[in-house]
Amino acid sequence: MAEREKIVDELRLSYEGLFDVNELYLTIDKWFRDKGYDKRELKNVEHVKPGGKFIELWIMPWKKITDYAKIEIKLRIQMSDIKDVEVEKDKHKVKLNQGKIQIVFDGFLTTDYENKWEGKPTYVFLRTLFDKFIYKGYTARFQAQVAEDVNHLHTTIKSFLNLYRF
Amino acid sequence: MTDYNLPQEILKFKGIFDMELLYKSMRDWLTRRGYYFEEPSYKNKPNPMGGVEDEITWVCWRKETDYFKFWITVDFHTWEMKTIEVIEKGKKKKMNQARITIYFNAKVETDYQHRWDKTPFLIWLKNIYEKYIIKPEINNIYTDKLYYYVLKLQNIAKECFKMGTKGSEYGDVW
Repeated sequence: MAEREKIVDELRLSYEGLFDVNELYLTIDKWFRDKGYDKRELKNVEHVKPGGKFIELWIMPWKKITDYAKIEIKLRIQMSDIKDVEVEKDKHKVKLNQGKIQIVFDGFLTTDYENKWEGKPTYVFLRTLFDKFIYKGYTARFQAQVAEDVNHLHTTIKSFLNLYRF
Repeated sequence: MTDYNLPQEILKFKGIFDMELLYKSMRDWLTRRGYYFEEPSYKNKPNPMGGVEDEITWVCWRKETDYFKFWITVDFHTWEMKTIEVIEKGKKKKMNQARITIYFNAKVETDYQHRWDKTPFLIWLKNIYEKYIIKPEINNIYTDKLYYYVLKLQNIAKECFKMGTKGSEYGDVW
């Protein structure tokens, strides 16, 4: 089995107020696309409740860095009490949403995702040696890239949500 | 014959939507793209507590080349489905209220004409062919293409439900 190392563990972002649900989704989608990630939606639930919509979205896009390592970013997005509202901005009426959001970010570095080194125990042993000593510099660089990507996405979403504040 | 299965996509929704629009939009999308369309099962169970439970399965396939065939299976499961009347833009309209889960499964089938499984030598040759010679085409073209097709089909359903997560920035991929 491929080895999955958690580099970023439950980085959180909470927001309550005005925003556009669809724009937020497309901003995240665009960020992943621009960075060369492949799309993957694990869970997509939407319930219309009397107090507003409840949306739960789990996505886990991935990007192959080499034939041996790939980055996976897991986002667990939960939106609750989402209501449609109309606000006036620059003398124009704009349709927006109001509600609560909570996003949890996890960043993973998955090595040997094609399970090429898992056939025999000697392969596993060799792979660990390879990872720890020979390939150490590369592994550290990949780990840094995971952290950098997750932080950049976190900042992008935070900036997107801040736009609606003022 | 080898199957390359794609990850399953699941969509869940609870609220008011137009089942007829959903059915027609998804079916149209598939037939316009040249998919052969079959509905092998349709179960309708009235619920004594109110509403009906439906289970619909679609099996769709398209011959991509002489060697590759795309399969898409869509399973709809609805609970507590009722027909209600809503007023949209001043007009009365019949809609449905339910809890629905849609499962999207897809696979790429190779050698669907069974030309390469006639002798043990051909089977061995096919293995070599798929593992080493056309592996990049399988991974980067055919499975990738079908995967993004399924995401597009899933997006049609999201649009019918008017979900907040509709749309895609990957729309022009394949």
